[in-house]
Amino acid sequence: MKKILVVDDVSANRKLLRKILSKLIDCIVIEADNGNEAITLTEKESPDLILMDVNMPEMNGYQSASAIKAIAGDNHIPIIFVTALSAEASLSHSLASGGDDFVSKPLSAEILKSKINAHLRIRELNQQLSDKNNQLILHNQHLTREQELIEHFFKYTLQQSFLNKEAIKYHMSPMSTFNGDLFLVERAPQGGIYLVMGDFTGHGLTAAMGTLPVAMIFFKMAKKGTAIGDIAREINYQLHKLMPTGMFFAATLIELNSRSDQMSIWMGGMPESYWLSKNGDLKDVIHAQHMPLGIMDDNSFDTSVEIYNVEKGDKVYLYSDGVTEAYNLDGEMFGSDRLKEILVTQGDNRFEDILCELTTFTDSSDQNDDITLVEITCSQISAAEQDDQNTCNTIYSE
Amino acid sequence: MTIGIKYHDDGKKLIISVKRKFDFTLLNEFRQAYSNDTAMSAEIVIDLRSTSTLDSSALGMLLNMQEYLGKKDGEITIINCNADVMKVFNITHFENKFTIKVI
Repeated sequence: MKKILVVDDVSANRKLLRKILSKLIDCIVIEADNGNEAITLTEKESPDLILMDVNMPEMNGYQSASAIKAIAGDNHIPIIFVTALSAEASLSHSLASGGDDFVSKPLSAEILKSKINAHLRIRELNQQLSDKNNQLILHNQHLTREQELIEHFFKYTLQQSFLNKEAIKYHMSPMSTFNGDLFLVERAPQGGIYLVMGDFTGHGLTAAMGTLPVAMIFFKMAKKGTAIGDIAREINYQLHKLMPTGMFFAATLIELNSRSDQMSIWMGGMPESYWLSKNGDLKDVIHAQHMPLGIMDDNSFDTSVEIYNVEKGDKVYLYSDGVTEAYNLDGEMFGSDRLKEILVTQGDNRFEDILCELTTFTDSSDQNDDITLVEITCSQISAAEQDDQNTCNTIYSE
Repeated sequence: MTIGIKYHDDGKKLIISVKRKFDFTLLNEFRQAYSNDTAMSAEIVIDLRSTSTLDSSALGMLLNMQEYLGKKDGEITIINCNADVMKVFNITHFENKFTIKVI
């Protein structure tokens, strides 16, 4: 049942209102005979609506209303002034002091009833809104906590990469907390390195989900020295099984042998890669030979790789389409021509130059996809040794 | 409407066309274009004459359609692809799944 607080210094007026109210609506009436008591009762009894006399000794109705509204905060308690003053003055005063409405004396029962009901409805709507708000806050806290847990899971799975700073430079910039781009490196047991760089459909958590099985398969098979075509096949098989149709993983898998003179590449659905000599001459543009992973049936999967005879100091550049499809404020795309231009004309710091140009180009426009850029310098990498752990690093977040 | 639907030869052939950008914003509209019994038994042609760009979610939507309609690789034809659209199909080798024709 609704609780209505009647505030008036004249006992006869309170009694009259109580009488009228009892006939109008089903409610509990509580009384205060001054402004201070009204404040105390509001805190103690939490009424649903207040009918307030204006002229009272010590604290008048307007002052009392201001104080009550300040205490109530988000809890909306409608205050209706009961006044003999003229309509115009009453209205502006009522609203200015934080009140919600007024009724004029002599009281009309019909008007009083309508106004009380209308304001109780508003109070109810306010309460619903406030409940929803609290639910949202709780939900948000819950989500944040879950996100933290999931982040931990990703970090732990992806942090096993072997990173030799002389051989590999990389830059990863996810669009949101979770990265749908993936870059992993593992040392081959016979010397040399294995590497996978790829891009799942979309971005955010759904895109990042797929990186977990890929990382597990990649590390396990690379440690055994499996041929990259077969690693690609296993990843394709598992993703095809796990992922919903329409999601896939564009990827480049590379094996650089221990003498660093032969590079095998399995490339599916990735934008072209650039192979440059030590002196910066463009040796070749490497195009994807295959579909992205996760689409093909295992029976029709093609494990064939392209083999390149590289020399020490040669560089290979890999990137996700987040680089070439980055937009500037004018809606213009960075584009593969611009990327190629930097690669063939710039000096010794191409990797840094690309990043610098990309940052300048996109300026303050919002990032619209996950971005990954990798530079591989062909150099000798010895077989894994137990004590050589100092080059291990986390590549998931920087 | 960004997606156009036209039946030919008494419903034996369905031509779906896509205007401007073929991307994730068309997910539901594109699905609705082929989710019915008539489409199920029709020959499907995707006309990209008015499509300027196509992203990876559009590729996903094409694969979903192929699966939903139970079509074999190469049975669905994609026609009138411009240079930008062709580039995406070339990189991803979608010719393994669809019959693709340039503009």
